[in-house]
Order: sequence, then structure tokens, then C-alpha cells
Amino acid sequence: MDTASAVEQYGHMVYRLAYAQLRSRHDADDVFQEVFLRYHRAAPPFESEEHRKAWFLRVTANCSNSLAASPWRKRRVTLEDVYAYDQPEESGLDAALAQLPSKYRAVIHLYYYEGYNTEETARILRRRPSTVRAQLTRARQALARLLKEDL
Amino acid sequence: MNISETYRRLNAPVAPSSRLLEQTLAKTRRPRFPLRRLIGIAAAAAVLLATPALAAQYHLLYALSPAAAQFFQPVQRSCTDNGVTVEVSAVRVEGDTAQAYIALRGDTVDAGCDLFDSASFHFPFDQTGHCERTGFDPETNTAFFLVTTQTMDGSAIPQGRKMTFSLGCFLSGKQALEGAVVPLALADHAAKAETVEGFFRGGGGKNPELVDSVPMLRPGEALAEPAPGLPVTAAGYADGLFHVQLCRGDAGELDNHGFLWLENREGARLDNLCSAEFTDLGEGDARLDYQEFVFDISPEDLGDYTLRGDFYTAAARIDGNWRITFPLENGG
Repeated sequence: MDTASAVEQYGHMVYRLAYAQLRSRHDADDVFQEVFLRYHRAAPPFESEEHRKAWFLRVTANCSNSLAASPWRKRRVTLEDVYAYDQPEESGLDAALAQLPSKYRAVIHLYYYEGYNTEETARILRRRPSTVRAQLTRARQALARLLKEDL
Repeated sequence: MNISETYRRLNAPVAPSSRLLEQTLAKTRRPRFPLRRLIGIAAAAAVLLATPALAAQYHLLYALSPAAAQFFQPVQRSCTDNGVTVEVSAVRVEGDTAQAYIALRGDTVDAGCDLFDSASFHFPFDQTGHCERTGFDPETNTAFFLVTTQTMDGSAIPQGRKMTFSLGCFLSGKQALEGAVVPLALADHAAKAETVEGFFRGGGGKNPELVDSVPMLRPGEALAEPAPGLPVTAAGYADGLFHVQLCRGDAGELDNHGFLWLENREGARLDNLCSAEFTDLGEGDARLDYQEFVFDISPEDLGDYTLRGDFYTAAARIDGNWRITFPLENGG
């Protein structure tokens, strides 16, 4: 699959995971470019579309982690840099997610948005399944505490 | 709060801007390999291909790739679990890249087996990698792979110490059935079909806006089974578009999947508008995954078309805990 087709097929998925982890449109833009440039440069062969998709998710998660850890990353996020929500339920969840560690947000995103189970999520993120299960449980507990309701 | 639904709504507006798309594509329009690099690759290949085989311990690797063997350091360490022996035959580390030739041997190993994205090197850097099947020896039931990993930030992989390779599972009995006719009379499914909510929706696919909003047909009994483990579980119209649903079973188990299109009597192909993915996480082991292919075709025209597809299935997933630690020599 050439890079243009890959951008069309996986662009939204890559951008959403990057934004979920970094919570900055500017940073998500940087990760988006980095991921597709890596794909273009490496042109890795894949045995199936599932593998290609998993590759994109893993590279996005890794690039986001690297950017989050970079000392050069801007710590201040402007209003234009985040998505805003009108509905209280959405803005409440958004604010609660902002308080979670980035590694929890990656697990939440892959589980609740991409529909991967914990074992698949562990494989994509190169974490132990037990670690992913624990992170998902802790993330849910933290969200329930922040939202003051059962999830 | 239903966190799943709320989280989906939260993600609805999140998308790359058209400017970002243009900028990214503009950068990738440059040649993938600069001329200087191409000349280097050609020169290296010419020298390597002229070099004779060396030590006997490389015989396996030499049988597969005489040129590559020159760069690889022999390892030949193995681990056996679940009746399968995994051997790291040889490894090469250069800068930010590690490559290893891996051999899998056992009764459940076959020519099409797939490492299912579960192979990895252990080193303290974020990494990205891929795997390619390089050969199969039917006499010993041994499959060969080349696994390549790069550090994400370009950090050099330290040498002169130990490295660990691990593998968690692989798929066997993989079959590819391409361009097959699905035995389904499309005209019998020209009516509006029942839809269902409450399934996890997978991201990705063409026309993302449509993928995020297209309804899912209620899964039913198998209408046809073009490949073992990939039944068509629904077909019909929803919101004016024609849907065909494939049930993948548990996608995390065997990675069964397909791709559908329509073809008329003249051989003209009508591709889908989008393919959405849905998951029923169910209880315990009852997870089921679905692919739903959506076509823009009128009910009157359905009878002129045949459903065709490419189908990829596996017979079994073999799990194990294969870990091999080996010394990495300087300059390997």
C-alpha cells in the first residue's frame, strides 16, 4: 500500500490515538507526520492488513511516548490546541481523561475506540497483558472517581 | 455514563486537518531512496553476492540468503515450548537496527505460519519492527523468518552485552482464497435489513466519516461461508446502502479476515464505499468480530452483480513462551 493510500486508510486512526495520548493538536500533527514519514521511508512489508494496522498503532503510540518525554515539548497547551465539547457529559469525560497519565489514555483509546481486547492491546503496545489489565482497571477507577459516578 | 459511547462521541471531531494531510503527502512525494543510496545498495549487493560461503554453522542462513549471512553473527540458541523449538539462528545489529533470522520447528509449524506480531527484541528503547517469512523446509518442518526492529528515536542499540528475543504465539494453517465467488443470491437480500447497536466500532477504513456513522446489521445465521471460519452473517439495506457482513470469529485468536466487492456480468468491479469493523466483546471467551462492507448500489441492480472476495484464514493459534537470550558481540 503506498503512502497516500495509507494516509487515507489509517490517517484518522493515527491522528486520534496521537491526540488521545498527547491532548494537543499541535503535538498530534507532529506525530502524524512522523508516523507516515516512517512508513514511507521504511516501506515495511506486512503479512496482512491487521499487521499493517497494528504497526501504525504501535508506531503512533511509541512516537507519542517519545514526544511526551521530550524536554523540548511545549508544556503549555493553548485553547486552540484542544478540542472543545458543548455537552456536559463529553466535556466532563474529556476533562477527566486529561488528568490521567498518557499511558492510561493509550489503553483506554485502544480498548474503547479501536475495540481491541487487553491481550491485543498489550501486543500492540508491547506491554504485558497483566499490565494492560491493571492500567485499564486503574484508569476506569480514576475516571469514576473524577466523574463521581460508576462506569 | 456509558463510557464507550461517550468516548466515541468525544473522538468524532478529532481528525487531521486538510493542511496537515497536504503537508504530509508533499513530504512523501520525494524519492524514497536517493540515488546515492541506491548506488550504495547495488555496490554492496554485487560484492556480497560474489563472496563464498563461510563457516558450516551458517549453513542454514546461507541456504536462505548467502549475501545476508556475511553481516550476521551466528547465535544458534533455542528454546522449546508447546512442542515447538524456536531458534535464533543469527543476528545483526547496526546502529539503530537489529535483525535476526529465526527458525521455528515442530509438528504445528507449516509453510504459511505467521508470527502474528508477537516477536520482539528486549531493549530499553521504544521500537518498531516487522517480520517477513523467508523460507520453509518441509523435511524438518522448519519455517524461517527475518525479524527487523528499529529504535524509534534513532538511538544506537548497545553491543557487547546480552540481548533477549521473545515470541508469544504464531498462527498455522493459514489459507488465502482470492477472487472467490461468494455463493449468495444478492437479489434475495434487496430488502431493508434490521440493524443493531451496542457493538464496539473499530476505527479506520476508507471514508472515515461514513465508517463512524454507518449502522451495523443484526448478525444472524450463516447465509454463506466462502472460506472456513468466515461466514456471511447478514446482507441487506440500511440507510439506502447495501451492506454485507462477514463474521471473523474472535479476531484476536486467528486473524481471519476478508475483503468483498461486487462484480457484474461484464466483469466490471464495484468496490465498497467503506468497511466498518464491529466487535461484540460478549462474556468470557465469547468475543465475536465483524466486518461490514457497504456498497452504493440500488436494489434493482443487485441481480446483475455477483459478490466476490479475498479471504484469509488460519486453522490454529499456537501460544508459547519462547525467550532466547544471547550475547551480542561488538561489531556484530
